[in-house]
Amino acid sequence: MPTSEPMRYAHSDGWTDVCFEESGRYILTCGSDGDVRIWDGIEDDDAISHRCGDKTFAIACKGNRYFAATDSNTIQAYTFPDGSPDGILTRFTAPANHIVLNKPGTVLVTGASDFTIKIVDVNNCSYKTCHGHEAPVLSVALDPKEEFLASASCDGSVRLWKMSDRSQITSLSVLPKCSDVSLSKTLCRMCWEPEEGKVLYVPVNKEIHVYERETWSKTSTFTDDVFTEHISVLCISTDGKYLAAGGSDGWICIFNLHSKKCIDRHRNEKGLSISSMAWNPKGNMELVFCDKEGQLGQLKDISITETIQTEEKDNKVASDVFDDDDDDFLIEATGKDVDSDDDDVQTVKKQADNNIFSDDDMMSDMKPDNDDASSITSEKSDIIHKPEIKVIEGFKPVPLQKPFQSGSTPQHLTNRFMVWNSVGIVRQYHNEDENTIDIEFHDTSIHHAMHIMNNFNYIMADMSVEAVVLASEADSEMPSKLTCMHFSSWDNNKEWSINMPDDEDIQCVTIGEGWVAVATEARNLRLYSLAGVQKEIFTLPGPVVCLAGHSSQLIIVYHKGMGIPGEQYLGVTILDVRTWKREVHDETLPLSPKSTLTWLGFSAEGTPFYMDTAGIIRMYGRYLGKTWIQIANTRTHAKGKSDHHWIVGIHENPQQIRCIPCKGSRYPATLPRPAPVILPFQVPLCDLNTEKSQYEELLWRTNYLSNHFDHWTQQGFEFDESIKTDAKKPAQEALMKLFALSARSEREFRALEVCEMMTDQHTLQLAIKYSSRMRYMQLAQRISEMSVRKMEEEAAKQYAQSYESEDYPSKSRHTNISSICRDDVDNTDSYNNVDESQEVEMEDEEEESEEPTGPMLCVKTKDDKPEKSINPFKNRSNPFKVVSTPHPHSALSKGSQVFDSMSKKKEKPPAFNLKPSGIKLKKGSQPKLLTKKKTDSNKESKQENPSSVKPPSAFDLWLEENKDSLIETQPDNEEDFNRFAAEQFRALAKDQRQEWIKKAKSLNEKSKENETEVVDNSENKKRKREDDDNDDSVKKIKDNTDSDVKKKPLSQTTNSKLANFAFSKD
Amino acid sequence: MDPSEVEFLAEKEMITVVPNFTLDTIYLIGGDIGPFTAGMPMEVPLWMAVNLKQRQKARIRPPEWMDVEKLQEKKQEETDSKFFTEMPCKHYMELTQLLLKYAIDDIPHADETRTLIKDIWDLRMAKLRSSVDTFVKSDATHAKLLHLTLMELNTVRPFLTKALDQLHVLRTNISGGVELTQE
Repeated sequence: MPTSEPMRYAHSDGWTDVCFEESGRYILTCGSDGDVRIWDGIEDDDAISHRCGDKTFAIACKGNRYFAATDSNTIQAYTFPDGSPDGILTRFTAPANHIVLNKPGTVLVTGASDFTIKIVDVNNCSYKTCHGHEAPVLSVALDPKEEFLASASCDGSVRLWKMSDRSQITSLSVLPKCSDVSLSKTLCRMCWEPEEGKVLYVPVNKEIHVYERETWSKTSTFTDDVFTEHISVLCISTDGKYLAAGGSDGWICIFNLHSKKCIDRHRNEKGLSISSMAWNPKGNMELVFCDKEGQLGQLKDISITETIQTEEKDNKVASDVFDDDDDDFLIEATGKDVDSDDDDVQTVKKQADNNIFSDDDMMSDMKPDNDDASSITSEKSDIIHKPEIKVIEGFKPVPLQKPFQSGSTPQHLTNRFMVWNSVGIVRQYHNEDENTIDIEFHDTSIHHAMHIMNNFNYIMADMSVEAVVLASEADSEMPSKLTCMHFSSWDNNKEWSINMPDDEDIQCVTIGEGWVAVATEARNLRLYSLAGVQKEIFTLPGPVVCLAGHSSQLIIVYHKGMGIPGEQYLGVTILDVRTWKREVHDETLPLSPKSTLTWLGFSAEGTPFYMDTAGIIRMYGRYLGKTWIQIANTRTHAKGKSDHHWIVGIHENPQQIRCIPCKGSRYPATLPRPAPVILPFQVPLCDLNTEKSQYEELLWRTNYLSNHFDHWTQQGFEFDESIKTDAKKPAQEALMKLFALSARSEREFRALEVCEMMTDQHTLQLAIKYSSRMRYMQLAQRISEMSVRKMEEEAAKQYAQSYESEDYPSKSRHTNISSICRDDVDNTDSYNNVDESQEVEMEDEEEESEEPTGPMLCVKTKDDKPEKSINPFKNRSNPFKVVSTPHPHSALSKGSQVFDSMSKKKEKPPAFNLKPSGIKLKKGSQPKLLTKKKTDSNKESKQENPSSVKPPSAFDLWLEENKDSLIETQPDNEEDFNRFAAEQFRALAKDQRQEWIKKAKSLNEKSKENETEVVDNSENKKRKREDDDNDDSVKKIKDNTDSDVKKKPLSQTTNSKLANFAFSKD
Repeated sequence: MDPSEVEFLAEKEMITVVPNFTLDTIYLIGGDIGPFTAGMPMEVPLWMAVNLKQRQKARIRPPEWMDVEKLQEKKQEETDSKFFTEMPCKHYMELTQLLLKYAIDDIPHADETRTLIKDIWDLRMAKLRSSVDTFVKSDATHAKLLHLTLMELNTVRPFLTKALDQLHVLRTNISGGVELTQE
């Protein structure tokens, strides 16, 4: 290993050229800053600079002049060492890339980006041009006999020219093609054998090719394993024994040209590409080199111990493989193997190691022993070494994902976002003259923007509407620090800080509603109140990756262990920091293949979401078995392959993914101010271009994204039910359309399955109506069966609930009994349905023309039940009793009244027999699902007509009888008369009054029967007009029952409901 | 028509703003606007954007075409074309004027934008004047110009129509005079 001084700054970033002054004392460099610097040895701290232009591309020095190629497209001569201009040698139409001089310094050859090569006579500035290259010339190499000239170009060719007539001898296409020198992977600096020019060394890819003079055939190639990229620069020592090769990956290898083996190697710091090299002409085996960032370096003490080289070339190469730092442990490993053999070998091994690693002059002292030593080493290494190389390639642990803050950009950026969330933005500016933090709120009514000095080097931040938290990592002087700017506080202390214990570094920080959580390197999770009270502390199961908080929920993601190759194994815990309930307990966070977590947070509604590097956004299915559901793929919205989206917030209602599109990167820059866009959610169902899938997608998306309402209810939040109804409406509509779609395509079973998913009786009724109208009678019948079943289930649930809530255990027995009763009723009902459905259809057809909306009204049945039992009068006039007949228990929650209502309903059926529909008569009093409802609803409106239908009371009868006599006694105005009459009636004897009451009752019964008869007879004619009334009256009822109803879009007319079924066939 | 009237019409153009307040939908005669969500871009009419900007309630996002590169392209196209090219916005001049007046801090490279818009305007006005010139000189009865914006039309309308009127009067007088002498 050669010794290398630390690299020193020579020029600004860019390709840099270097050469030695003849004596070897001065080093000349030139670079992209346009200066030529003359260094008195590498240690010179006060190099002399001469300005040559805006950029200098190449330099060569001879005697008291040096020549520089500048961006003015000239080769300019300067005097050395004072650097005064000494004339222009030649001009090009583009910058020259490489200059070489012949040994006496009389001929200068240079290749330029204008595709030409010029051979210039230094003394009289006359020149000859070689044309032929089809791209910028990368480099030239002059034969020491000045007979030939080699040149390499971006067109991929290495050409050989005859100097005398500038004719092209041969062209070898060995290089990669490119359009410009700056894009070229290699500079292709070639070398002739310096004495006779017998061979030409050309760097081709990772190899050095050797071409023979005159025949120009490739005689051999050699290389070294360390090169991972192109070899770019070759430089041969003045004595022609050593060849230095510099690669684009920063490796420099010194080859012994005799053995064609690498004898020493050096890796440039940071692995920067080598842009030029020069041997010290003193022949002291010093090599200077420059890299493409303008750094100058020097290699000394290059191990060239020739005896070893010549005697044991192979061995040397073998042991040299170990030189790489990464392989150190391997040598140790082999050393251990050797240990077990015997002591002699061990000592020998140690010496060999010394040999390999020593950078000092011990080499020569050790020479005598080394012969044996390295021979043994080589044997050993040959045997042991080979299988072990495979082991290295075998397993590489996946680096663990580092902890990060959601919504922040990487820390190495000078201007970065510390956080961008739905509350605001925190930016950090960190450069030489500024170290500040900018806090800005989206909504300025929360707080005004703040600009603070970042004296404590905060690197993490989170913000809520109550406070901003900042956290710093520990450094040598200060422990890790947490600061909370509690701006919503009503006292005067708006800020508090706390230092972590010495060995704990804050890695993640988050803020919830009234609490701050911090995860530290020591795997502690510390909770603080907003005003700075230290609260719970507990230990995380693994190194933290990310934290997020919302209200009282805290989500923690941490490493659980080693993942399968290439993947992270992350664990997730969701807990409530108030009640200390764990919702998700140490489960695995699913990630897309080979991806890492990039964003973690809650939606505004409080559902956990996260995104991984594959661009997939997943949400937590709180009520779906606590699964994680893919809900969007941001990659489908990215325009380019390297474009990404950077999440700033997620909202479930309205469904929005708020993110910032980043062109060609994963993070946005702070300037220009990025603008958020809104992306839609999409559940990744199959065949999304078909209508069916679209409805299915809509259905599931709506279902997934409205789960938070249940969570809210569970948490005891109050919210307007109408929001929930509105949010769930698309799902209902999607179901209806899906149903219609399935029915139309004759997929009746599927249609029934869709119906199974309908939670709402109302939609079920619509489905029945629709299918019967479309003449899918079997379907209609099955749906109605299902509807009945569902209603029962629901009622049973409600019933159970009502008893539970009343906490009245004795009634539970009653429930059982009633449910048995119910079953009986249902059985008969379902039998009837078979016949009935046919009838339904006929009737429908009859009526369709007259009253398309009529039957829809009945769907409210279920909702009216509770009301019924409260108000017996309403029961009588309720038009929906048919549906409720099979389910009298639906009113069971109200106790014994159920049976009353049942009996009352049973009174009714005769009325239907009177209906003047021939077909109907056959059916007798069998309960019907649809048809009866219609007639009933009509009746209702009749009965609700207040004056005409009102049954006469006992008082009325009595009054009728005695009116005349009463008028006589009290002839004044009507009001007084009525009062007087009432008084008189009350004054009657008890038995007398009872008689009147009886009379009135019998009368009522009779009149009722008559009345219904009349109504039914006249019905057909009147129906149309009455329907309108019905609409209104039913609506009124709906409004009354509104409070009890769940998710019923009530304000809609039935017409618009039906419209939901409409869908475009294509 | 007054230029201020044209500007008034231009104020109906929609433009994206990022409000820094949250507000429900507001119902106006011209249509509903909102809801406003702090930090989320949304479209409002220009007049409202300007108003919000003046009250520091919003940042204005310049329209996509108000970009130095795109305007340079447009300018080149306008220079190369013999005829008027279609402008990215019907009220580009008024919009630029208003935005540069009230929201100059929201527009990157404001000065360059101003110059470019002015250049394009000048190019188009020169074209317009030269076409008016050829039209009048050629004694044609009608001419057709495409892609002119309202503001541009408005600059020549009062003068051109009056001038043509006057020309007509002069012409009839001449022909009348000739007739008279003939008789």
